[in-house]
Amino acid sequence: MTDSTFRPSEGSAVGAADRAIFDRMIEPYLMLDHGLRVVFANLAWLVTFGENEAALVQCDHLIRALVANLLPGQRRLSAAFSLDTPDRAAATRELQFRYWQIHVSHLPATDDEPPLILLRFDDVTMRTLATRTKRREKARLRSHARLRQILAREAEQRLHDHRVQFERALAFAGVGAWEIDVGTGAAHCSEQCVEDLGVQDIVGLDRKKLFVEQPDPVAEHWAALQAKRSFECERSIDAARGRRWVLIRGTGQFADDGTIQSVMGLTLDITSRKELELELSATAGEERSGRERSEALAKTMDHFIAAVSHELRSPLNAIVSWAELLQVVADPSHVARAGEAIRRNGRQLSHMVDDLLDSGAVVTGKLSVHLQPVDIGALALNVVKDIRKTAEHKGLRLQTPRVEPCIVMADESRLEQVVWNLLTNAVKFTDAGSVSISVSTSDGQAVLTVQDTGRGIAPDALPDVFDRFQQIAPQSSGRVGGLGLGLWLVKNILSLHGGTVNVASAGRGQGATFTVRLPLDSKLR
Amino acid sequence: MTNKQVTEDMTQSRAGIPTVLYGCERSMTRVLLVDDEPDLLEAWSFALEYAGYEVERARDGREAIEAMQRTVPDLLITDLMMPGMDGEALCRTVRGRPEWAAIPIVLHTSAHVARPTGIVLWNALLRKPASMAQFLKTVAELTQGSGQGADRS
Repeated sequence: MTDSTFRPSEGSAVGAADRAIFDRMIEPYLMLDHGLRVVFANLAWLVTFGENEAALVQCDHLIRALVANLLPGQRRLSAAFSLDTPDRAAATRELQFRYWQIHVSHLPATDDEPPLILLRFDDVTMRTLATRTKRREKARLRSHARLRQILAREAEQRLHDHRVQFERALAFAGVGAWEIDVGTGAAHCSEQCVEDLGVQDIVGLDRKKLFVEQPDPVAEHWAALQAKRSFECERSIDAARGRRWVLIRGTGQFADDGTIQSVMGLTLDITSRKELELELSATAGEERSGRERSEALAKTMDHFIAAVSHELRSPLNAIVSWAELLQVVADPSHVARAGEAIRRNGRQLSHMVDDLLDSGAVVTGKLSVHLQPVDIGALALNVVKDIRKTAEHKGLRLQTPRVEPCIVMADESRLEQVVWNLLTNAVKFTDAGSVSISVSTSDGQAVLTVQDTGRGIAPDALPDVFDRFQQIAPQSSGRVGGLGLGLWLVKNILSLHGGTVNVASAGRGQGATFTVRLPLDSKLR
Repeated sequence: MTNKQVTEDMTQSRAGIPTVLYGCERSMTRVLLVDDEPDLLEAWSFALEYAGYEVERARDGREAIEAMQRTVPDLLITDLMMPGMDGEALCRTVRGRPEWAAIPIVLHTSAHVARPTGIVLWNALLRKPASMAQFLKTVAELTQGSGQGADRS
């Protein structure tokens, strides 16, 4: 191709007609003979690359490589390349290079023409530049992506470092941290938290595995969390180190629309504090209940002492008053009257003191009876005599419709106490009508009944009648008062005799009937 | 026992008793005695009658009011703690009625009571059981000059 005659004469291998056609082509064409000598360059080529060999020299190497071993009839395509044509560039003021691609075809020899190598130069500047831009863009994007990746990795690392640092700080403070994704139920937590909550399985940790001990505190405080309040609870947890007390705090994390997204919180082992607290509260509870008991006891005692003083004072007042009167009266009938009043009130006082002393004996288990044959019928009539006056003062009839002699084995003074208590009780709680006492035998038992038309007893109060200090409406009457011991003693004394006492009442205002049963003296049966 | 008999009894047993106890002997002074304890009611009314007073008895405040509506007494002696209407309520009722307001009252009680402020509910307070001398002395002082007899002059 170093031929100086760049556009060979008409005598060459290309005919005039062919030349004319090629000259009309827009693309630059170059024809070489098999010795790679230029036999023809079309007009476009000359216009584009100039009429010297500079351009050709530049792509000489390329062309040689391109056509090497090219067989007749074969075609090849070069890569895009640029040609350095500075004079042209200066002339056209084009600042950028143009890019070219060579199509090479090996035209086989015909009968009258030798083989030719046809080179077509395609301007691929636009395409190349476009490709190059695209490639550059891609590279840029790639590098951006890589940068982002790097940044993200760094951020992640930093975050991880922070988290580790944070957890380390929390662990140092003995505080565990946890977080639950509300949507998925997935959870993660710090090592301290695992230890605190006694978490068994940290693989695929979720809400259920995190809160081994039910109820789930998050579920339990869900309403509070929804209301954007944090919760706090104390749990006794069966951890690896044994039973521990753990304080769990949690607070909700909310999305912009106000829905709760996750719950995160802390755990803190408060075992030592809690145990102390429990110990203190147990001690306080004991003290409190002890104090309450002693206060209740003191109240009962106060009430009892007030009742005792009032009860004892009444007969005492009567005794003193009559004794005072004895100082001024000389008339024998008046003296007898005063004497009888003093005797009656003295006996009443004596019975009360007996009741008091015996109640102490019952409580300490020292109440004893000296059994001997006693006629309970005669005994009952004696007691009636003592009480008649009191009954008549109240305008009551004291009746003895049927009193049979009945010999029982009993302690006479105790049995008298029983009858006295039952009769005074009946008189005390009867405002109008009568009190009747009867004694008879039935089924090998002595049966004593005291019946009154008094205030009666409400059904719900019946079971408590024989309890100590269980007097019905003790404050209802100034005088009634009483010690609240009588019926309780009756029951206790009778049980020492192998006997029983029962009460029946149709209800308030319906009167009451007390029935005492004692075994008859076996020798007389 | 008639009043005549009482007077005779007193004449017989007068020896050794301070004369102040007999301040009422020339007139029939009415005393209303209120106590829920029958034995005490009996003992003290006996003592008052023995000293020459005319005694009306009542077992609680309500009975006392009924008695006063029948006859207005010259003196009221009342217990404090009684079923139904108690002594203090009785005193207030008496003081609230113009025709009764001037009746002197003796409160005879075993309870320790404070005198209410702003009103003279009772004129004398006796701790129960009072000594006979103290009791009759107080009654005599409060009924001095209340009789309708000729002793005024």
